[in-house]
Amino acid sequence: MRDFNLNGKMIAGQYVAVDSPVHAMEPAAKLAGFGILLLAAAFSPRLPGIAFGVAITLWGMTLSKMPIKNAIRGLIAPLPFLIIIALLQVFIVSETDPNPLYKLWFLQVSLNGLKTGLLLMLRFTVLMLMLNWMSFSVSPSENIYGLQRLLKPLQRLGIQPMDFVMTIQIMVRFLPILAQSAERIAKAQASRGANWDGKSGGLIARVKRIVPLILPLFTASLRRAEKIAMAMNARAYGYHADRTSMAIYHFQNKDAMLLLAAMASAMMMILL
Amino acid sequence: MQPLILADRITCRIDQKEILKDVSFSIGMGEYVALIGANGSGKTTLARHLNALLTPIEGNVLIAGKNTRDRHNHSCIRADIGMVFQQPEDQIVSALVEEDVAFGPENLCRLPSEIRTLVDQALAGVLAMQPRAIIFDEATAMLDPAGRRDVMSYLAKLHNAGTTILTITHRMEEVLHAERVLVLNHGRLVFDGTPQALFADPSLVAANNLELPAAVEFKNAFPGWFSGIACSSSLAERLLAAIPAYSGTLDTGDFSETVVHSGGANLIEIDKLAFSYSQDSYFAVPALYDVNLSMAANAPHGLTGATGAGKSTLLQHLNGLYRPQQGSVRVGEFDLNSADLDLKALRRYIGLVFQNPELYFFKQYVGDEIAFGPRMLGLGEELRQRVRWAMELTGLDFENDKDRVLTTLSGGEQRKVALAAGLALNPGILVLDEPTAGLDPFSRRQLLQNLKRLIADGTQLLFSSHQMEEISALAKNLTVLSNGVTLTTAPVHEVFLDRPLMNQAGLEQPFSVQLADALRAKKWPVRRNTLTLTDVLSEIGKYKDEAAHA
Repeated sequence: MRDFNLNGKMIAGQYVAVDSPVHAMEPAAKLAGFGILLLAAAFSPRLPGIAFGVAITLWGMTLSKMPIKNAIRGLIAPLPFLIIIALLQVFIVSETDPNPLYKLWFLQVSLNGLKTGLLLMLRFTVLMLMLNWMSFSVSPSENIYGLQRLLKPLQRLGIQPMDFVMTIQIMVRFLPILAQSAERIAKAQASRGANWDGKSGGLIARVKRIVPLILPLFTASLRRAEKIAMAMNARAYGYHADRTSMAIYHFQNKDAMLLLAAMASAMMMILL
Repeated sequence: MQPLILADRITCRIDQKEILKDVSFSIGMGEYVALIGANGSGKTTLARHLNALLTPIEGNVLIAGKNTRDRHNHSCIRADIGMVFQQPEDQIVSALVEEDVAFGPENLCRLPSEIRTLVDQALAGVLAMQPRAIIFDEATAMLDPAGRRDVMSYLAKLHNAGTTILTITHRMEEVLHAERVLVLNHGRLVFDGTPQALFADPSLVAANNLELPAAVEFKNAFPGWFSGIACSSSLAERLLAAIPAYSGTLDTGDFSETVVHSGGANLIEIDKLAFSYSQDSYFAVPALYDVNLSMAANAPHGLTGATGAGKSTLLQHLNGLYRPQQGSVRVGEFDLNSADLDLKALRRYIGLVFQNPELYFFKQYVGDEIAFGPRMLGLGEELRQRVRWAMELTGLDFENDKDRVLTTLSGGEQRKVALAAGLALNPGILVLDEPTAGLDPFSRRQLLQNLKRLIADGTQLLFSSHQMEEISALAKNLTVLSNGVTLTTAPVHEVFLDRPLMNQAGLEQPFSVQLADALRAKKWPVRRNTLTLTDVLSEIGKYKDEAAHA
């Protein structure tokens, strides 16, 4: 942790207002499109389908005028975990394979195992890229409005979608706050001689360094949460179930086109 | 006519501790009321009762006749009474400014087109709800002088438009803008009257840990000069205009200026420093463009500039939390640009105390919090002694205070603990970021006294502040930052007397300096390096009698 810039490392969850066809979509259609693509990426059964998913995501990011270099850089941090999970998958699947490619003591590697590992890695990559893309292109209030519209049928079952939607919005808003609090506590401790710098020490040493951060982070977050709740309360949140919205959206032909494109891509990801 | 706000014998207890005791008052439509009192006297709790965020244990609060106990009234009450919280970042609900401003009206189910117009007009999330009354909970505490001036003139504008205003503040000159003032002391309402009546009774002011505005203090020191002038929001200007001309003989020998001498090499040397957050990324935010600063030994150094000028970013470079991206930083023997910098040794040498440090306490007990630093340094036997020493330096009592739980301390005491925690490392240089922000007058005075003593005992101090009074009380030299660029580093009085520079940086001369300037304009022999009100008073006190017949 060379410069304590935790917020800067957290690219995910940052909406950027750009003038792009994706940004201009009707929120409910936009959310539905992203939802379908995410589901397809999660359940796509074969390598070509997933590879198609990567291509579609990268193309969609350029359509959203999103800087792809940054999105890909965001993948580097979780890469070690991905590799470990993929390796585990490779060994577990290969274990029962009757014709392994390679054998080392009790571990063996088979073509099938390699394929499964690769599939898993690509799947996570696509999912993360898509989530990044989505948070880049959907603003918090579009999120609320879109979800509200999509979840409207639930109201007939007596479930209030509004509370659920607000929970999600506050969660998104809380991520950078959490990073900020962690950054401040780490800085305060480092300033007083705690060892926060360098990558010295093994995994255990690094985990030990995080432990003193967790408790104060919890208390600081709870305090912030309470204050945000109070600020929302003070501004009359929650007194009418059907609150209005400043922006008015209309479902247009271009929304239908993009939604259809998303559906078609999702089909391809499943069928290929 | 029924009052807009009626508090009827309200009592509030939290964990058996009485926060408010039997408080009664009423506020009519269009009144401008200030609510003051020491840290922990119950101001914020009272404010939250008025917006139905809290309901009293005993007694009633009626807003336009509607009781806050009835949940069905809450929506109306919150549409009527808007609230601006102390920490701006705490009340922001949405990630985009526009969406945040729309949040309130959306909750009130206003029509979309109507909301759009409101959002375009509004300055803040609360105003978009068009409330009848607005409560400002220390809205100016975190602002620089220019921002504070904006808020004050905005309050006046709202007041003229008929909005009722209740402002909570620790700044006594803001109280003069109000028509009425409520004083809380340990949860009891001890005064309800005009600011003039309050400030006419210095013993009452002192008993409630408050202080007189500087202008009132000056007026009281020379009762003969300003007999016809009443305490009002324009008091300072009117006093300055009414200063009589000096008629005594001029003693030019006294005009010599003291030059600030440095006692050797500079302790800190910063040259052309530039820094961006998230450098090289899509979200890069430049904070510093071109910063130069040299701090001399044995000359307490201030750092000032408008909010967002880059003060905190700069201070966090000094102990290596941020490393220079461009330019160079040297602190004592340490070269911050060097790749093999010993960070631990650097942080032992330079102790940094953050802005609002009590928000980031991470231990439960006072003693543990203060001992954290020395323990990290591997202090064994000496640890206890070191903690005792640091606590005593800041006016805490080692035996009694070390086992107290941090959250039970008052705001002033918590700040003392934070300072002691920084001092416990026995640093060569002590760096404080906004040390008095959010403290009541009494705690602020105490902290300043402690710092003065530390300076006298040889502590090298560098601090940032946008409270000009604090800079004039502590610093010898001052660096002014504006939008990430250094405007100047010079002796404090030279900076303060340079009005165009102060304006450019969004700052304001403290009253004492304006006063000294006005006195000099009337030919009074006041030296140019006179900074604090006490100094001004003692300077002219010598000649007062000669002027009396002028």
